[in-house]
Amino acid sequence: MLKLLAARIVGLAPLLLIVSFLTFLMLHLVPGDIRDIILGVDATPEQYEELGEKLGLDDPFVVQYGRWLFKAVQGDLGTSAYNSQTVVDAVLDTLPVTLSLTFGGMLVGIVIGVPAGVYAGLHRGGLVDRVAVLGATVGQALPNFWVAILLVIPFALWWQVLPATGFTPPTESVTEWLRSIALASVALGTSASAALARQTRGAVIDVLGTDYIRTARAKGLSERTVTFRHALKNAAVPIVTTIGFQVNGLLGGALIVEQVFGLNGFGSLAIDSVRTQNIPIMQGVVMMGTLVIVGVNIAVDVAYGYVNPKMRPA
Amino acid sequence: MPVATLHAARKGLAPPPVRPLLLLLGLWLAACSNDRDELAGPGLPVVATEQTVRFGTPNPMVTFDPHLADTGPQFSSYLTLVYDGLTHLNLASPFEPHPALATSWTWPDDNTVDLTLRQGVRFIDGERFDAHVAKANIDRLMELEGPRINTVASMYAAEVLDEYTLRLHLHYPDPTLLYNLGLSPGLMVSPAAFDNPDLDLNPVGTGPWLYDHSRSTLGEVLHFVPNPDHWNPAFRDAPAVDVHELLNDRARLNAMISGQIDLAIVGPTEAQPARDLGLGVTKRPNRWFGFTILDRAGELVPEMGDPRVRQALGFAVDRQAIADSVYFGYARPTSQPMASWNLGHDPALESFFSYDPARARALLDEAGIDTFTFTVPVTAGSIPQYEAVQAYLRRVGIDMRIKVIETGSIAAIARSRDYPVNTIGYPNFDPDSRHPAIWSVTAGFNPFGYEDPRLERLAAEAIRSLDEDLRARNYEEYFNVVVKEVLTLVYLQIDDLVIYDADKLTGVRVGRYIDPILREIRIRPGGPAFAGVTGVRRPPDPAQTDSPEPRP
Repeated sequence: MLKLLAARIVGLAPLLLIVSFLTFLMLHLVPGDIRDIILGVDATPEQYEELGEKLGLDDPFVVQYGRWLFKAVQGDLGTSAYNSQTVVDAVLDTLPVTLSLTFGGMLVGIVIGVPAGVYAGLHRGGLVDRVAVLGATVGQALPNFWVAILLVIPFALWWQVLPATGFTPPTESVTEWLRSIALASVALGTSASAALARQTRGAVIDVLGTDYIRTARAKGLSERTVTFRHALKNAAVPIVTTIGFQVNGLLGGALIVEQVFGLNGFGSLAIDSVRTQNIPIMQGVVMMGTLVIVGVNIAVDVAYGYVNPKMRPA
Repeated sequence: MPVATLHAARKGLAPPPVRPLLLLLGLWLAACSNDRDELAGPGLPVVATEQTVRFGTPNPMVTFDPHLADTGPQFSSYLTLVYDGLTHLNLASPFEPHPALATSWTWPDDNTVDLTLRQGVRFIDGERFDAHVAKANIDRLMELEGPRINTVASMYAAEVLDEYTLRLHLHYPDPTLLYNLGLSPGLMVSPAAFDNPDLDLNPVGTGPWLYDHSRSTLGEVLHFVPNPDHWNPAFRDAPAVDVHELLNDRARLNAMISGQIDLAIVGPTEAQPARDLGLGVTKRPNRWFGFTILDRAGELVPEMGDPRVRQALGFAVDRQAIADSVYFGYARPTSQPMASWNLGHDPALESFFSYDPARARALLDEAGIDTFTFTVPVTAGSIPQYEAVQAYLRRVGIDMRIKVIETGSIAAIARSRDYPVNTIGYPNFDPDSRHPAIWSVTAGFNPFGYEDPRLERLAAEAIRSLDEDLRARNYEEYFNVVVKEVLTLVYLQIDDLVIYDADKLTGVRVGRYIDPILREIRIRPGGPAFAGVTGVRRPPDPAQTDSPEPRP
């Protein structure tokens, strides 16, 4: 397992390099100019040119990227283009919000999706199975932000039992933290639960049709033992894979849902930094996002080894 | 081998990775904590929600260093809370400076102004305010050359006459200097903080509020508590202010409805439901909607070089219909850039362009044009209104094509020669700053370098004159040229809108820079804590009555 982790970490460096280069390139292709935002609409052409020189905007792209990379490899991701807020601070301020939403969305997805998929798989063709399949199809088709808007109206605006906007850190109040992420988590978890339900159902049906399940039943094992000891354990590998995919999807979905709930997460930071051409912050967001996604993928690999010993590296 | 691992191995199970998970959980909780003792302020009190004005804005705090700050929302939502200026502006009235840290001023000659400074004022770090401090601030302002330096470009030196008298030396007479010293350039910073590396995040001023750095999170919410030692006693019972950054318009409306904030900047789409729900709506016509013609000589689109064609663009469009249908009534038809409260406004120009498609067609015929095509760069948020204009123009034979552009690129595009017009909704600043930005031969937004000697002369005379009558006359003539020869085609004056809880707040007005004037807002005595839009509500304030800042 340690070898696996070491290999992944070594592989991370070139990945980050490629991602950082592509991000830098794409940000330079975005129309607009940071000078318009810093100087306002009344800037004179002279001010415009002077600021360009000061910020090094006239340097070739490769020089600008090299300057950023030189500092980045020394652990200095720089500061915001507008003030002295460090990129690390900006990212760490927002990361808990997005991670909370991702965690909440995943929790909702697993709590609803896995049991629904298992039950549907075990009772294939029944009423519950048909309802689960229909629900999963609809759930996957609904955009997260639309579900979010639908949830806000009754729970936050009509009945006012949950907040419409804002985030409370768990260190301040766990109850308020749960309240602050509840609606967004359900909005995010809807599609995740649908995907998990479909995948779980399929995996359970596949496993139940295998020879070793037939053998287990022939040996006289109880249906409960067959299901929980043999079927579900072996169905877990594709489910874990789906969970890994869903975490990455939830991270992306959270970026949109944050806007609906006015949450200052990764998405808001990313949108704001693109809108204001704040390249250091945007680079930081992408780098941290890459690390989180790679971390999730490593966790999925570790989980493979846990649920299926044959998949552990030699 | 640990027992748990042995046990798991017998069952063919590896132990769950508990420790890494716990480590991750610990790191996450640490990241969630808002513990910044190393940056904490002077132990500021936490003020109850009932005594706090909670403001929702889409405009982020960029910098607390006023000498490097722009005006606009940056000034009115953040800087005016923590800093005082040499002068004070009542942002809802014309361009008249009021006493602030300068209590009076005299003009020994047209190129010199003497400011008498307020005594007994201290910065929050204990430093005393006097003429040496004011001079140091002016020197720093000129050295840093921030975004607003061009608004005080007339000034070349500050001189200390005595402990509380500062003399400003000017290159030329500047009628707007004292006005501009009430904006970002005139805000006073403690000289002991000039070299603070975090001055842009941790302000050190004399303002009516103290910024609670330790409880604030940039991009989320910034907390301000009243400064108990402020020199103006009228501010000592001021409410605390929380500024919530909420980018999404609908999220701000939702936060208002659910009682999480007390006032918010919104667009017309949100203002209408807010009014229906009983929230107060206050407004101010702050910007215009239309085109500024860049290609005035017809280099890119030859037809644009003919003033009759540009006038046809004005007569072809039903302004009232667009105001009603796209802006829900939060806009007024007009033909001139300057609002009624601004210098250069001429009542006779207000309805210069009526809705008269037959006349538009006749003007095109007179110019010998059957039809022509031009393209306008439009940001996503402005598509509905320009699509409405497009439909009206099509009826008289003009094919206006819309090119959707990124919001952040609109200014850069307006500086280029790629399009014959730009669609920037310029704010209604004083004409002294509009001329060099838009219509002057050297203006950044005049990329074709079009020169009108009449405008240059009128503006040059007005900008450097202390004679208000001459300034008014010149700018009236100036904008008669702009409107009648269609250098800028204005269809509507657009309202900036703020919705607010009229049960809780009083004194809510929209200022000149989009935002409400936070310094003037007070909490109604005995007003109920707001808990969302339920129950019986008081009727909203008329809200546009003049209520200048309390005087010391």
